Formats: sequence, structure tokens, C-alpha cells
Amino acid sequence: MSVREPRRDETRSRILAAAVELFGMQGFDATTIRQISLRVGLTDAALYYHFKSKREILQGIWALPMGGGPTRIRPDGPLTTGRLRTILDATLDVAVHNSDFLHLIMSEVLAGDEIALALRGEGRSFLRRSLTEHFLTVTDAMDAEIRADAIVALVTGSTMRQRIEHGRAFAAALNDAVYRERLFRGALELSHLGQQRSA
Amino acid sequence: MARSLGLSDPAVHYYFNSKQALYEALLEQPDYGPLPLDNAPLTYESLLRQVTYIFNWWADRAGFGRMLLREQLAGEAASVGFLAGCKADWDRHVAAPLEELFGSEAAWRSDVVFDVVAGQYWDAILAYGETASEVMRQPYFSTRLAQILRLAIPEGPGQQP
Repeated sequence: MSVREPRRDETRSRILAAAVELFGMQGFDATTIRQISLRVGLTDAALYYHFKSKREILQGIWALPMGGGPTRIRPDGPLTTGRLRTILDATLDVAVHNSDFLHLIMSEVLAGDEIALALRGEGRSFLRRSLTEHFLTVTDAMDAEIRADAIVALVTGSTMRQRIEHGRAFAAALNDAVYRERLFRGALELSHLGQQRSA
Repeated sequence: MARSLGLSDPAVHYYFNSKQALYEALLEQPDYGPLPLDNAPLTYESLLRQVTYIFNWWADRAGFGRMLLREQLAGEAASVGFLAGCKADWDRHVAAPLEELFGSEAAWRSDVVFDVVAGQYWDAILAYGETASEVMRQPYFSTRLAQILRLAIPEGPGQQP
């Protein structure tokens, strides 16, 4: 018995990983249990042993921890351009690591899934909080919030555009050094940190 | 859909042969009508009004924006092409005036402003669903957009505040 338990967990994880990929790629509605079981190399019956329905698989996915973060970055002194770059890179790394998962979250938000909506809101406020805390080391509360919101908007718009334009190659597009440099330059402009340098 | 328009099914079919034909008609490039800069001299403030006008046009059509985003995330080709068309349109309406004010870095700045504005829009669509148009019309929301825009398009290029 004790030997079988880890194996059962492992199968469960493999089902969830395959489902994240298929749901993310072709949508929850268009994906069948058969496609998932084929991908994992199980019979439908074996899959039903772990999950009673497609909906139950989705609930299992929502409960998954995100790979590679997000780790909370806290201010360690007045915000510098280097620290802003670190925050942006960490944010993009999480987006790359969890590309299919985040794609699925957005698709399901648009399909009206409340859990997906809450998870997306949580991820967004995570970045917003971190940026606000950092800007508070160089400016007042109102201004810190505005600059944080501006950068959250930039990151949202820019990464969404990459996702739409590059489709399956989204992760590679986000890892591109030229793309990251451009995004950083934009964030630097919105942060007003660049002007302190020349002052 | 016919019911929501107060039309009969055949009446809708008279104009559009299929759901696909209707979808394709929706994906014609947006007709913003006369824009603020069509009738006003280019100044910092009139450029901000231009950008805000385009945002509000989209804010009033959040249901359309939501449908588009769903198709775009699913990789549907016409909707993906639509975004490229919108960006080209944006560059005509925003990058060109930015160039007069900012010179050579206008293309880069137009990209930044586009992403910031699109980010605010997509965020509202995802966060507020059916009520997104209404949320975007609230004073809190438009004030925040104006504040963000002033960071993306600083007044008096080259000047330090």
C-alpha cells in the first residue's frame, strides 16, 4: 500500500499537467477526457479513477502551486533601476514558467469561471503590491500607486500582445533579450527613475 | 442574437448568410469617426484627448473587446490580424502626432502608450466582465487612466519637471 500511494500521486500530477496543456491550447470545452487520457497513456476508466469529471480536473488544476514563483520581492533600500529590472524579470520568468496555466486562467476568466477570476486578480495584485512597496521608498503614497498601476498596465498590455501575436511561441518571445530590454525601457520611463539619474 | 435585436431569424439571415459572415463583418477595422486631432491643432493636451478618445471608444464596446480577446487567445487568425490592424491604425492616429512632439523616439513611445492603454483595457475586460463598460466610465477609472497617460507621455519633451 505504502508503495502504491506515491505512484497514484504521480499519475494524478501527470493527468493535471496534460490537462493544463490541452485546456490552455484548445480550450476547456473543446478538450475531451479521451484526449487527456491518450496524452497520459491511460484508459478513460483509469482516468475516471482519479477524476470523476472534466470539471473536477479543472478544479485540481486551480489548486496547483505555480512553478518557479512568484516569490515576493521586498524593498531593500531606495528603489534603483537595477531593482526595477529584477522585479520585471522575475514577473516575466513566472509568466514563461506557467505559460499554459496562465493562458488557461485567462481563457476561463473570459468563459466566466469565478475561481480563475480570483486567481488572476491575486497574481495581478501580487505584482502591484510589490511595485507599490518599492515606489514608496522614493515617492509619496499617491504617486507610488499611480506609477505601480502604470507599470502593471504596461506589463499586462505588452505580455498580452506577445501572447496574441506569438501564440504557442509566447514563452520564447518573452525570453527574447531585445523584447525584455524594450519592456524595461518602457517601465523605466513610467517609473520616472531615469530622470533621477540625469538630475 | 436575432431576438436581442428584435429581428426575426430570416431578417438576420437576409443581411448575413452565416454566423461566420457576421463575425467577419464585425472584424472590419474600427470606425472611430472624427477624432479630436482632426479638428484641433496638435498640442500636448489635444494629443492626450486623442488617446483618451480612442480608449473610450473601446471602453463603450467592452462586449466586442471581450469577444475579440477570447478569439485572439484561442489563436483565431482573423482576430489576431485584427489586432495588427488596430495597432497600425493606432500608429497613424498617435505615433504620427507623437513624432511631431517627440521626434525620433515617437515609434518607441507609441508602442509604450499602446501597451499601457491596451493593458488597462484588457485588465478591465478580464476583471469586470459584463460590467466592464460601466466600470471604465467611472470617474475613478478615467482619473487613473489620465494619471498613467501623463507618465507615458510626459509634458514638454526633453524638459525635466
